Amino acid sequence: MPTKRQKELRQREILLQQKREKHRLARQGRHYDPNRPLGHKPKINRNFRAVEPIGGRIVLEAPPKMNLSENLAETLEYFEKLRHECISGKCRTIVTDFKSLTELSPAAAVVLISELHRVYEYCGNREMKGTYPNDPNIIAILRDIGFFKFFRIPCPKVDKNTIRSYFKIVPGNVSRGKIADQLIKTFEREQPFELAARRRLYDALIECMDNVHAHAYSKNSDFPELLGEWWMAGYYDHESCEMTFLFFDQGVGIPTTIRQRRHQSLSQRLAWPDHLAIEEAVMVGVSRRDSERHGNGLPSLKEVIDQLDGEGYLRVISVNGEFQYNKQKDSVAKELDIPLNGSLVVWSIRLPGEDMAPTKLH
Amino acid sequence: MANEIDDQDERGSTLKYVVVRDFSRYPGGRLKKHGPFSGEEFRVDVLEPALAEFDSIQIDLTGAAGYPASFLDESFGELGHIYGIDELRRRLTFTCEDDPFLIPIIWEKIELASQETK
Repeated sequence: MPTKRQKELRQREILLQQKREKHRLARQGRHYDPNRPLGHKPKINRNFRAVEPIGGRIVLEAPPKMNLSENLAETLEYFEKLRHECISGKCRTIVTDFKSLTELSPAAAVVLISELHRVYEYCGNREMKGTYPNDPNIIAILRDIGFFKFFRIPCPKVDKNTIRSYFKIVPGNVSRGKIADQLIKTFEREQPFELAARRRLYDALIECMDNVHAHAYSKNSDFPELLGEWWMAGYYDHESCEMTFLFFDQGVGIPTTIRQRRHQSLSQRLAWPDHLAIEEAVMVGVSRRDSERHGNGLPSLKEVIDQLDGEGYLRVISVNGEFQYNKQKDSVAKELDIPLNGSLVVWSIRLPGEDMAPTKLH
Repeated sequence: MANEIDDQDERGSTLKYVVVRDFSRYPGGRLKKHGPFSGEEFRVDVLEPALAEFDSIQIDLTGAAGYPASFLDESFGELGHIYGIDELRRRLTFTCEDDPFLIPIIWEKIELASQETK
C-alpha cells in the first residue's frame, strides 16, 4: 500500500507532468486537454501535414454492434470514418456517439481505444467530445478494459462484471518484458500455466512487441501514425474458461511488411493476396531478409497454441486479410472487403476442463 | 557484476554468470533500441566483455520469465557469427534447471549464425 507521502508525491508528479504537457502544446499552438492519455508519450510522425478544420460540428454515431467477427465491415467502416473526420475533416467539433452501442467485443474495444489515442494526438485544434453508452454492460466492458482510465474520463457507476476478468489495455513502443509478465500473471490467477507454456507465451508477446518496433511502421511514412506504438490487453472468460490475449498495432500491415522481401517481382507481390501472405507468415515464417535467423516472430505465436494442452486459436487480421489457425480444426484464410488499418493478433486458449461454453470469435 | 569468478590457475579463469541475478528476470527483444534488457545489450555489455576477460563462462539461465527467439539470436547467435561455434563450445556452458530444452535451441542458433558468411 503506498504511504500518504508517496501518494502526495505521485499527485505532485502528475500535476507537474500536466503543466509540462500544457507548455509543450502551447509552443506548438495547440490547446491542452486534461483528458489526453498521459504518462506514456507516443511518437508523433513529424512528416504528417495536418489539415486545419474550418468549423461546424459532426456526430459520429457508432454502429449498435461493434465486433471484428460478424460485424467486421461495419466496425472497420466506423473506425475509418472516425480517423478521417478527427484528423482531416472540416468540422471543428467531433462528437463520438456511443449511446446506441449494444455489443462491443474486446478486440473491437482495443482497436477503438487505439484509434481514439491516435486522433487525440493528431486532432490539432479540433474539439473531441463523446457520449456514454446507454447500455450498462457496454459501460462495464469499457471500464474493465481500461477505456475510461486510459482517457481519464469519469466512469459511470455500474455493476461489477462477473463474466470476464480483464487485463487493462496498455500502450507501449518498446519491448518490455515486465508488462508481458504482468499480463500472464493476470491469467495465472484464474488458471495456472505449466512453466514451458508460460515461457512460450512470454516469448510470443515479446516477439510481437519487437516486430512492431522493427517492421510494422514505415520510416518514411507521412501518415498520422503513433510510430512504433502497440496496444495490448487480455481477458479471462469465467464461463468458457478461455484466456484471450489481444495485441494491436497501427502499422503498414503484415502483408505489406513481408512483401518488401528482396528478389520478389512486382507481379509476384501483387498476385499474393493479403490473407495468403499472412497464412504463410504464420505457418512458415517469412523474413524480409534472406536469413533463417529472422522472420520467426509469427510462427512463435502459433507455437503457443500448439504447445498448450486444450483448445486454442490464433487469429491475425491485417490490412485486407485474415488468417485463423485452429488447433483442433482446419485453418481459415479470407480476404476482407474493408481493410483494418494495422495488424491485430488474437490468441485464445482454453485449457482442459469440463462443461464449458463453446469458444467463439471476437 | 555480482558474479562469481573461479580461478583455475592452470586452465584459466571461469566466470559464473546468473542471468536472473546479474542481468534481468525479463529478457527483452532483439536490439537495444527495441527496449531494455535486449539481446544486443546482453551480448555487447555482458558476453563480449566477459569473453575478452575470461577463458570460459558458465551461464545460468534458470528463473527468467522467458527467452524470446530474437533475444537468443541477437545475444548468442550473433556471438556464433563473431567467434564461431567451435570456440564457443570450448568456452561457453549453459545451465537451465527449469527449461532444459532451451540449451539445444541456443546451440542451434549459434550454429546457424556461425554458418552465415560474415
